[in-house]
Amino acid sequence: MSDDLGFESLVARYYGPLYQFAFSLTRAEADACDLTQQTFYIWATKGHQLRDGSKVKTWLFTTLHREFLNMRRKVVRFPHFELTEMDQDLPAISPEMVNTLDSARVVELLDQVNEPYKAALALFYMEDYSYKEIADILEIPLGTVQSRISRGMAQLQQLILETPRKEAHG
Amino acid sequence: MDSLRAREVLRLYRPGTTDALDPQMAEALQAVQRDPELGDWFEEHCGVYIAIRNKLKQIEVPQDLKRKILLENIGREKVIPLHRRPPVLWAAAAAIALLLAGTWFLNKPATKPSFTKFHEWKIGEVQRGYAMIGNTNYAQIVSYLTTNHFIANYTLSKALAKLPAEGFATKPYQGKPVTMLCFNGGIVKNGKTNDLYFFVAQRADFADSPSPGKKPRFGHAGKYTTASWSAGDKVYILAGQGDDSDLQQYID
Repeated sequence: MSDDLGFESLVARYYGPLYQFAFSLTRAEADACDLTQQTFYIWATKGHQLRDGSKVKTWLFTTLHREFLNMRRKVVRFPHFELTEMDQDLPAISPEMVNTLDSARVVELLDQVNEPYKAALALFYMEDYSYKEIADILEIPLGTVQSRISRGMAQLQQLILETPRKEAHG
Repeated sequence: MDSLRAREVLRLYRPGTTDALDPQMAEALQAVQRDPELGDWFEEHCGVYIAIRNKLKQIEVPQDLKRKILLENIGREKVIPLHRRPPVLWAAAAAIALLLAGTWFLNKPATKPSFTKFHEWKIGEVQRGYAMIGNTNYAQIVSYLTTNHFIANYTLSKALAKLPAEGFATKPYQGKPVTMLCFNGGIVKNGKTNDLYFFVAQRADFADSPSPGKKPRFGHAGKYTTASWSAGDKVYILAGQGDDSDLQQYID
């Protein structure tokens, strides 16, 4: 499997999913490109320290997320969200409602989800990681991952539910 | 587990992933079989998940990003220079090179098996009565396939995922891994069950696999209709009784 760790094959395999994850976090092409490039730069200089070849993908996603947090810390201080609130029920939306929206609009709505939920939600939808792996990438406890996804999903679905009404009324 | 609790647990369920292996999820999935109202909610929930996932996966990646990354970093990678590698590594490298050369010589690249032949062979087996391990617990089947490294990362259509499982098999074809899942497609004639046989293999393992994105190819063999198609890195065959449209409903 050592050839799998070759830089070019790593880039070929993961730059797409990493960019998509970065874009879902930043919703800005330039920032998403920067984060993806920065992640591979860190891999090129420090990746040799990783002993377990099977963890490369998780390592790359973790690094990108850390870089995203670093970038955001410089810009804005995260508001504190109370995570002990009751879980709300999922707003009733249908696949058809989602399909009426284009991809860019869904990313825009994801961007409106509260900041602490966004990364977990993006990984939930875009990658086939287990909850444990998502917890490892985001460096938070498993239970926190699940509650963030659950609340983030409720917010996103609520936003989707409201979208046609907002657009219908201009 | 009651339906209310099952619904709570299944909020986090993602179709086509390993979520079904989680014992709580597996228990909740069983509740779906018992409660039609929960089943309707679950179907809608999975549909919404897939729709949002598809939208997010459509995020376009800038075309020149890969080139930029490579330009910036090629040569920056920290590798041990060749002249500093210990002699044992040189010896190991030479041994590996000799071994690879020998292996290549003895096993010249074999031609891939034909998908057409694989399709014919499997349908023949279905007509003769496919030998499988009976199990109606889908979560257990997925768990077994995953744990034992058989093909388990396939995509089931919503309609197929709703059917009760009958069993599975993992018999390879010419050394290529194949997973077969059998679903109960309801009663057809004379009180007989229409078993649906869903085969999954790696697309790259066959020489003439259907191209991804193309419509399913239908065929007929005895009382069976078959459909074959590719999606992602997998190639699929579905076989069951009825006509093309009967089968089509389990593919969409």
